[in-house]
Amino acid sequence: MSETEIQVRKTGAAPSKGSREDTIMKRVFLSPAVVIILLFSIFPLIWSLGISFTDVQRGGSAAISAAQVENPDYNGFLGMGFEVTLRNYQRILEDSRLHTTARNTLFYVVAGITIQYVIGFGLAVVLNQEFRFRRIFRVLFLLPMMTTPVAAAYTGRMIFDQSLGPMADLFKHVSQFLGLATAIRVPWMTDPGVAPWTLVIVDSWQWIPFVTLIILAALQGMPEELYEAARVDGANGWQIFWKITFPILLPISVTVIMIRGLEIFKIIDVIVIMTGGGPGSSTESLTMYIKDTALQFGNFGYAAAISYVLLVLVIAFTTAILALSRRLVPQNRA
Amino acid sequence: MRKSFLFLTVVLLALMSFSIVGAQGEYAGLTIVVATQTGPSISGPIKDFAPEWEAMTGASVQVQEFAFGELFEKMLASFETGSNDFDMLVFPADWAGDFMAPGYFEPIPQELLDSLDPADIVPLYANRITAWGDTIYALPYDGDSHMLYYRKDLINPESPYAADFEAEYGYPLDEPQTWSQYYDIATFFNGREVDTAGEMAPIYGVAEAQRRDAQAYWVFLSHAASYGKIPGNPCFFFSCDDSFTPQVNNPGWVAALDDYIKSRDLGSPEQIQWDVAQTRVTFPAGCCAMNIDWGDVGPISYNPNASVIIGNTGFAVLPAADHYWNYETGAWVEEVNRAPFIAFGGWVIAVAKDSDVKEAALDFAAFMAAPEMVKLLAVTPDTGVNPSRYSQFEDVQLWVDAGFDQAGAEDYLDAVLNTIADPNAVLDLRIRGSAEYLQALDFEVNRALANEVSAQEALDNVAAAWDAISDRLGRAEQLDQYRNAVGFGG
Repeated sequence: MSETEIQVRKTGAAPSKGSREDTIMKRVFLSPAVVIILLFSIFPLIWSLGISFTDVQRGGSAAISAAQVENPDYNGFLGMGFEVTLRNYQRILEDSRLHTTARNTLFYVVAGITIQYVIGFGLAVVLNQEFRFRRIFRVLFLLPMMTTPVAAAYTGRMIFDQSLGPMADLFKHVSQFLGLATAIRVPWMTDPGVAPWTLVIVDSWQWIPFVTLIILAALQGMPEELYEAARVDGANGWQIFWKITFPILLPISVTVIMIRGLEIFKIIDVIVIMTGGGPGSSTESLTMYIKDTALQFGNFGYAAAISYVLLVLVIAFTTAILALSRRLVPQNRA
Repeated sequence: MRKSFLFLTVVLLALMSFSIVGAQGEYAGLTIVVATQTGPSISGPIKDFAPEWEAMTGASVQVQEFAFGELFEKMLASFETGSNDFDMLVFPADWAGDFMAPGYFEPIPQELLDSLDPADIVPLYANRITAWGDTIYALPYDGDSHMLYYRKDLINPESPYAADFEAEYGYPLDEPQTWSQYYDIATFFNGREVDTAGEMAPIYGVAEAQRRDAQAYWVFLSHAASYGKIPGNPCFFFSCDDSFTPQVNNPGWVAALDDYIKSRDLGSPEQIQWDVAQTRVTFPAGCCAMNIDWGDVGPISYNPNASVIIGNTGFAVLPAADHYWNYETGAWVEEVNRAPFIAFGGWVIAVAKDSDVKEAALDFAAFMAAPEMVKLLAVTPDTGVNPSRYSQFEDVQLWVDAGFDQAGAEDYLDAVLNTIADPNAVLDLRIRGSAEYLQALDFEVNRALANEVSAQEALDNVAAAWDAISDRLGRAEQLDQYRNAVGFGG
């Protein structure tokens, strides 16, 4: 170890600023990452914001078509074939399909996070215990996460088939066991009230292992001394969990909830495969509506505007979670 | 060790000789990317027969499959972005306005068209669905129209259920002629235990596709055709007045949607999530009394691996409405109106104008659309290809050789011919933006099926959406295109 390093470690002082050459080199090495982020992330974001204020539409702008009746030479804003307008944002307020899809998406986020976090946390605590075949169970529990969402959705579609799926068979046997004249039939994917729950179940089945994995890693990194001290002080298992384990896991829990929340906001694949957004619009998510608006109906301006609604929802969600965590985490640490 | 080495050498030599043979073909080294819908229908035969063409030409075929709900957007995105993803496209004839009008396809050379024996193709499936204006951009591949299938062992005047049915409804049990008879029969059999392949089990009344973002809206249109079409005029179904006002929310269409909602409750509880892929399994499995579908169910019902009702399937033209809505007079006309629906028009094959392998793609397209090929595919279950040539209708033996019995083959071909030859048949919406119009319809119809809105509200919403699309694309142009597509002089 060099003398300078020893000095830094002893004093905790930051290393001195490098020379001008060092600064230039740092910028040179950083610049590819900055350029890539600007090109593929920031620029499209700004571009789509711009598009959201236009009526760019496959087949041409309706406003221009109407104006061309009076003036055949008219070709929109600066002759670019579209109009600059606030109409997309105005439509957001009136579009009942958008409101339904936003409501559905919020349901997926709230129900999905709750189920995934509670069960995932519980499984992590169980898998953290010493028991036989623990390693095998850990691998088995992680398997769903390793499949693609499309495969998970097809599996779900088969499992929840109302007539032929294993769940239907299970309910048939339960009905027989209970002595019911007719078998209980759950309209898993055909009832507007039940279908959203079915999608949450399938999404949760796939992503609970993710929550389990992260929480389990955090649990295994917790110092054993804390538990020993608590036991010496006479704390029981429940008290140890609520006073020690849970508070220490809160920061990582916030991270997990945030990651899953952001992912669920973008849910589309499971829905497309299992219900196609139906029955009616009962399972359609915001992402699915954006996709249909842009690619099926070719209304790129409005699709961009809805994307910003989704962005606002995601930012609101993230801010709320961070605010909540700031309130909870320091109190429990104190 | 020596044996393994010898074996490996032989395998390598064999592979090299194959590649040498392949490389000698006319299009050696070229790859054709084909885009179409997920199989087994339509993409299945392309994958099955591509190796034969590859062996002849030395080229290779890569088939890219998309779910029907995504097919339009994938194809259009490829054209609009100029990404040139596909060389050959197999797509519904309805989308011609979006693909052919902007000039995305290579015009088909006359000598290639002549090689396909064009005189043998029923005119409805020839130029009418393959051309835009005077230019032919696609090769005919498939002939499509909707028809009615029913279990002949149950629905006939000598059926064991005939007496009970007549006692309940006051007329003999037979092939339904009208929608009201269709629903009487469906109601009678729904949930009833009947003998299916020697087993007594309850069946459903109907099997109709009703899933969103699939091909179900064509089934609704089959209901609507006879309620909304004015006999003797090629127009007056989707719209035809000078302002191109949509007729989709008139009382005739609303009555049809009420019927379609009725079908939901007379079929499997899963039906609202069924596309034709599911109904094509259910009906041949004997699980329901009647089914509305394209001609595909004919060969499937004679496939011993899929059907338990072989020889017991009745084939018929779609039922007629007991009355129809005349929007010119704004009143119901109390006359029976049969108006079969030429749903979809058929799958056609085209080659992208910007393809780098146009010649090879045209050659492969011609190979798949060759008369002998489409004849073979039409009699083969699950290909998605239906009869479109006179020779297919005249040669009953072709169908008998494929497994039909003589009476069944004649009945099936009669039903298809009577559908497409009916002067009151309704042609599909083949105008620019048709996919967009029909997707708007699909969404609202499904909302009505889910009881989110009433039939009238759903179709009012569709009318508003159609108006907006027509405004954007230009009403006068849309009207012209529609009139041309249905052969209306004005």
